[in-house]
Amino acid sequence: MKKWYKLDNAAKLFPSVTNTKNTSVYRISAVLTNPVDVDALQQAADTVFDRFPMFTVKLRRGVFWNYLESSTDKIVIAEDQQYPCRNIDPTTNNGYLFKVLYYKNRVSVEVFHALTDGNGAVEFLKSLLYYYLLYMGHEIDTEDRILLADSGVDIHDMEDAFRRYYKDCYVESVRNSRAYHIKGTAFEQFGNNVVHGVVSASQLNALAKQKGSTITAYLSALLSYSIYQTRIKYSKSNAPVVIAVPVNLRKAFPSRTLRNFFGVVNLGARITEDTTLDELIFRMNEMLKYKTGKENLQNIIYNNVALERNKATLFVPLFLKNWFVNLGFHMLGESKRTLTLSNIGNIILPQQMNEHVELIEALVYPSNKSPMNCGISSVNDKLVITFTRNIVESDILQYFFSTLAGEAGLEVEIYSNDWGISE
Amino acid sequence: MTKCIRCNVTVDNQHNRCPLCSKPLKIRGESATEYPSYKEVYQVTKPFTVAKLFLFLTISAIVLSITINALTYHINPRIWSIIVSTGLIYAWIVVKDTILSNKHIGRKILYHYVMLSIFLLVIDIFVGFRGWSTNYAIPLFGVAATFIMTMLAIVQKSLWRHDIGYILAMFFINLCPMLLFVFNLSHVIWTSVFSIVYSLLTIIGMIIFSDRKFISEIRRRFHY
Repeated sequence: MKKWYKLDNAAKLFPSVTNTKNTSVYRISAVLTNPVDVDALQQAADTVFDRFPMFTVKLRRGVFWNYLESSTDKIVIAEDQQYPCRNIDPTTNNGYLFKVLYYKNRVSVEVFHALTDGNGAVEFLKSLLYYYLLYMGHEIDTEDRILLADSGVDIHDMEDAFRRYYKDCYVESVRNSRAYHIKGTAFEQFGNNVVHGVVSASQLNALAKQKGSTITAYLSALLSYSIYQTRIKYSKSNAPVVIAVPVNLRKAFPSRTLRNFFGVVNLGARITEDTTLDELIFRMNEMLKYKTGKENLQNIIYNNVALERNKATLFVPLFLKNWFVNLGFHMLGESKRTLTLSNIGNIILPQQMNEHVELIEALVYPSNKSPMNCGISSVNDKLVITFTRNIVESDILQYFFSTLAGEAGLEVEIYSNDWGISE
Repeated sequence: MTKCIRCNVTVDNQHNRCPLCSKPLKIRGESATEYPSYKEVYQVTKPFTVAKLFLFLTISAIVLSITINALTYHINPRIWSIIVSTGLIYAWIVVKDTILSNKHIGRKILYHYVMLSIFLLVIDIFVGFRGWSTNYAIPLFGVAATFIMTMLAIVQKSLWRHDIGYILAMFFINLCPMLLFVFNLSHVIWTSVFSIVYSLLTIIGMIIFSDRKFISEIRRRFHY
């Protein structure tokens, strides 16, 4: 009989709000030093299959809830042909909600967010790359950093950690105003344009430290500042710029789960003519520090789980739930943030894998109201800042990268997928 | 690597224009970080498709019938265009959701049943409400829909994977004619009782002729 899983707390959101323009599909890629060998990659995908049972599932609709049903179909790797973060059609791809793609030197995993968060996807990618390199004839000491296929599935990998760390508590809710929204012209052919900027992680870290901040806070501040300088300055709007930063909850609440376990904190600032970048960095850093404090994160877990635990939700049919969740998502989530900046952090690979991996890229899917999102990841001291956007205008990122290169004095190396640009 | 002087950044060899400001750079070369060329996946949006044609014809027919109805209202004071429009919308659903769609058969039957019920109700109302739709047609079609679904499930042996949800849904839908009776919209009770009893027996049959799968299926769908 087929096994099935409930969707974890955060995952319940995604099936309700997903459509072709808000895909809930993110991508994590690794650029290798050599072109990808298809057979070895397929072999690696077959090998890791058993270790990630929470990935090899299909989404099914029940009367009151969606659920995930395990499947024994193969993971079929495919050549990357479409634009990144495209919606995953469940009638193709063996019904799976994630894809393993390759093109030239790049191996990408695209994941529907209901399966797992960035942390889970990175673990999957690491295991996949480990076996790939193994089958390519390289010898690698795992240094205990890789989930091995024969290590057996741990029950802790599958826990809904939200439920474990749920604690009844009193939460004050503050009404936030609507955030500034970036507007732009849609591409002639709908799709996502990706621009990557590569910088030295240590240099950027030193720069952030010098300003008394962290990389995430520094880049959030710089990005808000760029949005102000290119857009808000010339408009009548005085709406705040709000950067939504997903936080990995595993650090504050130890869990080995390979499913979703993240919360989102909003870093907002009303920027005026007098605001300096340094001031903004300071404010963002303080806000990030406060909001990622354990107490605040506990409140986030409470807010997420409380609704689900409400007995009334047991009797609301799925189509009504979808409708309410969608409404809530737009009113409370989408309209209160300008864009998402997701830092999946420094990925530590075993020493012997490092020489085969050039870069790791993180792509965050854009949506209607936030047509441009930012993903940050680093490996081997190379930090990639990725902007995924579905609008033509590149003024904000131009300002952002120019400032990073000019005033901050970092060497920035740019490449892109040129979607909608080249004719 | 080329420097884009305007943006102050280095641009990878694969680009002949700066991705940030579109300033032309040197001739492009190869690179490890290159993405596929999307030339083949850029689809030309087709101005003419069968679905669009049917949509246009349906809308034209609806607009025309309403116009004719309005212009001839003094000769024939009946609002017949509503019936024609509902019929056309029903025909549109048949084309779009049954013939041109690859949705699951159970869902198609469900759609049909709901749309057909609405269509019959509209006809009934606009030819002087005599209640034949709510009394007989809707409950009996409900029985027919449940029967077809059960047969398909048995023939295709797909009961546990796909169809059971729709059969359960039909049970709840078959409760609706009962509501019609409660609210005095229907005056014949045996048809609604028959439809409820029929779907109830279908479910009891499923329980008796099933193994543990049924219980587990109910569990995952209701999450209890």
